[in-house]
Amino acid sequence: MRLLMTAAAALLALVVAAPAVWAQDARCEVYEIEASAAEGGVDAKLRRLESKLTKPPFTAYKSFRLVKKHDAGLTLDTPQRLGLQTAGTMELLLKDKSAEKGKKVRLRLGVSIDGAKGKRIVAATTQLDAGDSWLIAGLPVPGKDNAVYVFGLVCDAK
Amino acid sequence: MSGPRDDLELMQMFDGETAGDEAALDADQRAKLAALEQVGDAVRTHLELAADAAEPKLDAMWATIERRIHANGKAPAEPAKAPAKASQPGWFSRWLENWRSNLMTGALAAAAAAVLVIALRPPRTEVRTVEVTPPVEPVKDPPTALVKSEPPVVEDLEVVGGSGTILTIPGEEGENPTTVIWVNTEPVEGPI
Repeated sequence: MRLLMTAAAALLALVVAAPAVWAQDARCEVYEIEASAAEGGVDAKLRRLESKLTKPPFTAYKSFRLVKKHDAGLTLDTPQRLGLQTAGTMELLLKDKSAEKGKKVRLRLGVSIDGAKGKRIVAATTQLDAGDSWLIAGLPVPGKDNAVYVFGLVCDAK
Repeated sequence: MSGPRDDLELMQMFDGETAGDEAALDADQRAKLAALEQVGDAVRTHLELAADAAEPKLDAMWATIERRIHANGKAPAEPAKAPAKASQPGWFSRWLENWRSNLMTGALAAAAAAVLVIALRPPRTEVRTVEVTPPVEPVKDPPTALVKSEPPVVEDLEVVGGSGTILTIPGEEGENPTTVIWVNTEPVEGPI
């Protein structure tokens, strides 16, 4: 009986949540990473970005630790704000989405990072294919000379 | 002269072998003599009729003998017979009448053989080579691996209180390069 109730609840949650997911234009994974020169390797949870993190300009770092991972659903022209553990906030804005025949879905994505005091640090707009990754790195880790923060973004869309 | 004394003398007198006086014959001997004349006439008439009937056969026989004599003992060539007329009425009917049972038996045997050949023949195997051209359907959704991709493009970059550098990490096989924005800011003591 308990199993049946659990299954029914799962089915209900799926039915309720599915339209909300399908209504989104893109889904993005945001990785907060601390890279340092200390030995440690690449966090197993960073497998999706590992091939990038082991190439220049990241070869100066030997440890990549996942601080936090965020999942964000994006809707066109609707900013999505994430509270960062390493800094203040990150705002994602899906500015455009195109799906031409024979091509991957193309996204036009705006990203801005503000400090803890609300001060703007960096803002950029990039066009990239769905599934491609985008890295913003170089923000200093407080109290650590040989460490930086790396923000990795991977967005999927159909 | 006296008359015959018995039948033998009477027959000799009838045949002319002995002279006799018919006047001396009695009534009985005259009746016998008349009977002999009648029997003689009957025999002569019968023989003449038989000779007349046998005359064509005897002529043909004599002709054959004569031809063989002229051919010096060899068998002479038979005179060419007139070819039988196929359309002679009655010829085919007679032939058919004589051979009808044989013909019917042969026809039935042939029919039975034909039925057996048809019934017992192995199943017919027919090999046809047909060239089939599969219909070419347009590709609706090409595989993802064949979908053309474009490298990322940074439209604008703004770094407040520092500088930014756009770097590119080459992608692996079939993968787009990755854009890296490297931000250079002053080291901070507290949270950024």
